[in-house]
Amino acid sequence: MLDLISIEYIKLKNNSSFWIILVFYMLISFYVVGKADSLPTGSDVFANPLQFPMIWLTSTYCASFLVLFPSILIILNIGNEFKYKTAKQHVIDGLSKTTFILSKFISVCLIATIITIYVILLSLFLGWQSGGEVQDFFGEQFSFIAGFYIQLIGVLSFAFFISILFKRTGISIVVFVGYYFIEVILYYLIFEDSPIRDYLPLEVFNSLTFSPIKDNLDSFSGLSIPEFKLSLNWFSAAIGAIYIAICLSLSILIFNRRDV
Amino acid sequence: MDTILKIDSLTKKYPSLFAVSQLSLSIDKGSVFGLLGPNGSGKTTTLGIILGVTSATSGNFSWFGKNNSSSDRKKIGALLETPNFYSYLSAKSNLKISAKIKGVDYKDIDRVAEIVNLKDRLNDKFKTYSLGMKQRLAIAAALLGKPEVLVLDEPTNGLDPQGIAEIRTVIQNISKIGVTIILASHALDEVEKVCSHVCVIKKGKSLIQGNVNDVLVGENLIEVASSEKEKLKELATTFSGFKTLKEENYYLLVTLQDSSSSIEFSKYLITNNIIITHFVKRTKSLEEFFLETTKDA
Repeated sequence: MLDLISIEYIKLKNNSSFWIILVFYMLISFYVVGKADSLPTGSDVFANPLQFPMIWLTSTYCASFLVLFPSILIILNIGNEFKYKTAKQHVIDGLSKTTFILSKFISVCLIATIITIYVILLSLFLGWQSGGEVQDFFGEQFSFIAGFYIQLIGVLSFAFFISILFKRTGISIVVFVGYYFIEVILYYLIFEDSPIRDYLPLEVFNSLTFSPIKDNLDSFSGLSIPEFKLSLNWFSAAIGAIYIAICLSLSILIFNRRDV
Repeated sequence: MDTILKIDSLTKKYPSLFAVSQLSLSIDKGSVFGLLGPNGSGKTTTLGIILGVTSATSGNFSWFGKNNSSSDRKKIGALLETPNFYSYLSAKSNLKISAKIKGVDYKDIDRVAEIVNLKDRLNDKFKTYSLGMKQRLAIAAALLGKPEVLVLDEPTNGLDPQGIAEIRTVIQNISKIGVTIILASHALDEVEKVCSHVCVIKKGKSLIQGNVNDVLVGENLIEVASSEKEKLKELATTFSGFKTLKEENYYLLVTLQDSSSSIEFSKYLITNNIIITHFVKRTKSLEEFFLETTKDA
């Protein structure tokens, strides 16, 4: 296990596109989250989305919008293994096909962990700057960090599965982005009146982070003020975990059945 | 003698053809086994199967007399088709990854780099390497952890003569320390120079196999040249063991009868006072060889 982590670490550490995309993601998410307080806010309770504990919702929600960047990172990372035929070489050198997939999944977890830690630090920094009270640091809303982590691993697992399936970076990116449109069509047209639509994979993952702004806007419009989401919907989180398991299992299955 | 690898009626069927068909062979510990065949004859497919990257349609194989498991491959060093490394990583980082997979200490990296003469270039990125260096790095990676078996697929393919000579020296040095080597090649002279045993395959079928001297040396072929070409021709045709003669660019290709030897022929020429500038006993060219073997099959 430790060996597999250090293998993935060597591959990522020296990969310039990894650093470029990661730093780009970090800068943009810092900018986007930092600008969140310029959006209209209406709630009396949480006047400022950058204050504790609302910052946890704001930062995870904004950062999750930019999930395409780490997804491309995963697609490039997996694509490299096929491009350089190192997937094949790893099997020749003595990894079982299943272990190879698991070792690549470590990359998914590594990238998700790095980004989540970054979002925590970012939230602490911005929250502290906005003059939050110490006792509000880790309120119930901190659970959205867990939601964000699951969402990140989930979306990255989906990108992971697609890149194992299609091998080539270009095709994988097109299919991955294309699926977003497919799910929009499924959500709004095909399953319009069906509860199924709430269980579509990306919808499940999206429900794990929640916009404070959206609620405020709803209250603005004079409609019934929705019950404010104070903590993560753990049921959605469990469904998300099931989707992650499916992506990983299918990847293992496909890779085992294929000549490398 | 211990059997390192046993292959039993191995078959790989693709939709339109049999890449490997009912191939059986057995490789003894310490031998240098050549898998000889033209391009597309099923050599790489066979190696891919025994290295776990290609699935067989039917048939079995077994390493070290055991049931196969992926961890057995950690005792096998292999280079299949092309050197497979991350171009953006240094050679050293690439070797570290291989070492981690095989569970070998990083200390071994310097040793294998020394063997393939790449120690000074270890910190350079793989993409800056020449083809020969890439090939040598792949052999270095295969040597990590002192494997019992080395599987090399066309290790000199695409190299210049110097590169070919270097790789051959490396292979010969490795076989001297008792490592079993399985070498796939389409070059007859390569197999002849380094192998102790050979299996000739074509269209996935084994045509002939056995000790390299028994299989490859079937005919008395001699290349001979002299500045007095006409005299040489006349002498050759009047030699008692003469069979056929063919004029090549700068030498004559003389085939002797089976009962006759090259030594006798050489003596005969010397006693007839002709100065010989070139005298080589050679085996059949691959082309001739294959035409002959496939005709028999």
